[in-house]
Formats: sequence, C-alpha cells, structure tokens
Amino acid sequence: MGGSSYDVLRKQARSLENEIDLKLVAFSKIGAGSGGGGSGGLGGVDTSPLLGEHVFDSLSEEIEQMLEKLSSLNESMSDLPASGAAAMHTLQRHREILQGYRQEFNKICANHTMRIEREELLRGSGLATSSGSPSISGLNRREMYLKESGHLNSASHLVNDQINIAIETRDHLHAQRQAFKRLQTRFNDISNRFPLISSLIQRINIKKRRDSLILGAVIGFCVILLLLYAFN
Amino acid sequence: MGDNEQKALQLMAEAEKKLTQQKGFLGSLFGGSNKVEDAIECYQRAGNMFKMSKNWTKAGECFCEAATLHARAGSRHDAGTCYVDASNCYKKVDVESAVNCLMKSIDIYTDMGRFTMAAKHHQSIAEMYESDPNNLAKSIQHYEQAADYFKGEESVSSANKCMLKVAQYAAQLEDYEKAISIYEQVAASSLESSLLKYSAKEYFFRAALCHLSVDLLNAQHAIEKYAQQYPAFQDSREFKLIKVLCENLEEQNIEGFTEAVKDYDSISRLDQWYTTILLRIKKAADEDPDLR
Repeated sequence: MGGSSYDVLRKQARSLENEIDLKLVAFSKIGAGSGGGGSGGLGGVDTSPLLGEHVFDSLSEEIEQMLEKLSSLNESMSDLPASGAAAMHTLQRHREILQGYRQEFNKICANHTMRIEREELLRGSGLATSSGSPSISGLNRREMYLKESGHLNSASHLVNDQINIAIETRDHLHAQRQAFKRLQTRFNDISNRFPLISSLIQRINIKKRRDSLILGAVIGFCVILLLLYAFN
Repeated sequence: MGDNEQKALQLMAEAEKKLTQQKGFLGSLFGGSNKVEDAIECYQRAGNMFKMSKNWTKAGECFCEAATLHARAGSRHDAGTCYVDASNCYKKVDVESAVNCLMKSIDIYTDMGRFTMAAKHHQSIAEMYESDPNNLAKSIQHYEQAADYFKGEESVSSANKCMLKVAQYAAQLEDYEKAISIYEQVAASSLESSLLKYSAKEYFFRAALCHLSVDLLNAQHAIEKYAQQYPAFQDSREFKLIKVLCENLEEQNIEGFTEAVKDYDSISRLDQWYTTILLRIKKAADEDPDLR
C-alpha cells in the first residue's frame, strides 16, 4: 500500500517537473523577448510591454502555483515511511530539482523587473505603467490603447498612400503606351501617303550596296598583290 | 555514492549505540568520558561521508548532533565550529536551518567574547537572506548587528562595508532617512583617509539621490553641503548630473530629466540600484505635477 502510493506520488512529481521545465523555457523567452522590442523603434516600444507584461504575469502566477504544488508533493513523499536508501536518494533528487527550478524562476523574475525599470527610466514620460492605484494604471493603459489606435490609423494612411502611388504609376504607363501607339500610326500614314520617299530610300540603299562592293573589291586586289610580293 | 551513504548511516547508528549503551561498574568508573568523544567522532565522520554523497540534509543533522555533544562535553569552541559546518551544509538546501545553526554558533561566540567571529557569522546570515527580496528586512538587521560588533572590535573597514549594505537595502525598502545618514557617515569617515577619499564621491552621489527621493529642496541643500565637505565632488560628473536633475525637477521637465539620465548612462552604466531609485524619483515627479 505504501509502495503503490509512493509510486503514484513519484509519477505525479515527475510529470509536474516536466511541465514546470517547459513552462520555465517559455517563461525565459518571454522575459527576454519583452526587452528586445525596446530597441526596435517607437512602435515596438509601445506595443510589446502590453502583451509581454500580460503574458508574463499570467505565466508567472501559473509557474508559482506549480512550484507550490510540487513542494507539497515532495512533502507528502517525505512524510511516507522511507523504504531504503534508494528512495531517500530519489527524494533528495526531487528536492534539488525543485530548488533549482525555484532559483531559475526567481532569477527570470528579477531580470524582467530590472529590464522593465530600465526601460521606464530611460524612455519618455507619460507611458510608465505605475504599480500604484488601479485607476492610474487603467488610465495609462487607456492612453496606450489610444496610442496604439493612432498607430493603426497611421499605418492605414501609409498603405493608402502606397496604393495611390501604384495607381499613378499604372496611369503613367498607360499614357506612355498611348503615345507610342500614336507615333507608330503617324509613321505608317507618312509612308503610305508619299511613295516618292519610298523610291528615294530604295535608291539610297542600292547606292550604298554598290559602294560596299567596290570597296571590297579594291581591298581584295591589294591583299592579293601583297601576298604575291611576300612569297617572291 | 550509495556506498558512502551506507557507511555514513552505519556510523550514525554506531554513534547512537555508543551514547545509549550502559557500561558496567568498572567501565563507568574509568571510561565514562570516552563514549561521548567516540560518538562525536562517529558523527563527524558520518557528516563528512554524507558530504561526499551530497546528502546535505543528513550531513547537517550529523554536524548538529556533534555540536550538541561538544556543548554537553564543555568544548564550546568545537561546538561553534561544528555548528558552522552544519550551516554550510544546510545553506545549500534549507536557509532557515542554516540560520538557526549560525545563531547557535553566534550565541556561543558572544559568550566566549569572540565578537569578530560572531560578526562574521551575522554577515553570513545577512548574505543568505539578501538573495530573497522578502527577507531584506532581516538582512538589514543582521548587517546592523555585524557592523555593531565590528565597531566594538575597532574593525572600521568591515563595519563600513556592512553599513553600506544596510544603506543600500534600506533605500530599496524606501527607508531613505536611514540610508542618507549612513551614507553621509561613511563618506565623512572615508574623507579622513587619503586612500578611501576617492570613494566618497559615490557615497555622496547615493545620499543625494536618496535626498531627491524625499524632497527637492533638501537635495539642493545637501549637495551644497557635500561640495563644501569634499571640494573634488563639485568637479565630478555625478555632481553635474544631480544639478541638472534638480533644475529639471524644479521646472517639472520630465523629458529633460530623461535626457540627462540617458546621457549619464551612455558613459557609465547605471546598475539596478540606481535604476530603481531614479525611476522612483521620475515617477514621483510625473504623478505630482505642479498646478501653478
């Protein structure tokens, strides 16, 4: 009876430790990530503390509850009658794991607090989420929501401007195509209306071809003479 | 690991057996005092074996038993030493038990008149407590007690080190008056030494920031007084920062305050304590606008 309840408690403790480990990894990423947005510009600064803070707080409470539960599980295991050195060693191992998790949790919380305070100190005023009365906190949060809404409106305006630029470019391309088409039409009209120009162009081409032939013949003759002189 | 633990458990059982067994008439006449010493030796060996197998709780228990037996046998110095060994083991797994062992050791050393050892152990207790934000008040108490014992033994530098810790944590707990008086006291004593006077700048800076947390006018008077006490402080960057912060706070200029802190931080980084104090000053100025 004692052995089976001990095994049940041990399985619960082991599964709870795995859950806490996964949560601590996510917690560490959130704790580090909420500071990363600080150097990403105005939008990053103003948006990330809201989401990061909320998720950070909820995860913090969740992990704290899990640690308390694991602590009570360890106490329950230690209250059972000890059935040998191996069980005591396992219990010691569980206790060390709990202590390591608690230290890591405290360190992540301290780092997060330090980063938040630093951001609030070195940033402009008016947006600090003070931990005083809830009305002031709500007011600051409302201001942040208003600012976020303003940013969304600005983004919408920018996108509209981009669309307008694209439409203007398309219109310009259309006008250019019309102009080239008109030019081609005019050239076709000219060539159809005046056949004399066409015959003149043909004569010019014939004369150019004759000049090319004469030049080629003269060059060939000179080359042949040069070869005869070279080989004699 | 298990082998050491098994040996340690056997040694514990052997020690308990030595204590409880009844000797004969001749044994009680001639060998009465040896059983306690043998039990102490067994307990100490068991504690060392538990240390090797990293079973810190059991090791602490063994050293506590050895210390109790030492106290019963009248060896108070050895009892104190064993309590310190036990606290070193408990420190890794259970802070409260470690503190209890050190308190027993401190009682022994104060009875023997060895205040320097008692002060060092108070300092150890305070260092254990300072890693937990909820126990900063206890840490302050133990640092103050350690500083008092050090002053009694004329160890001024150790006392000042403990008092600086008290001031730092008192300011974190918003007890600015105590922090200010300690910083001014330590700065005044530092100015008397030609080697330590270069640290007075930092102490005056911290005291001025604590004044700023309380009241602006007091801070302005304080920095004038500090400049008279230590003329080199007037040329330092810390003094210039405090001046600029006072001007910006007088004009309710939070942007100027932020810019001044940013400029100072870009050259010499502010650590966590300065960040916390300056943020409190900024929040107080932001939430209390002048309605003139």
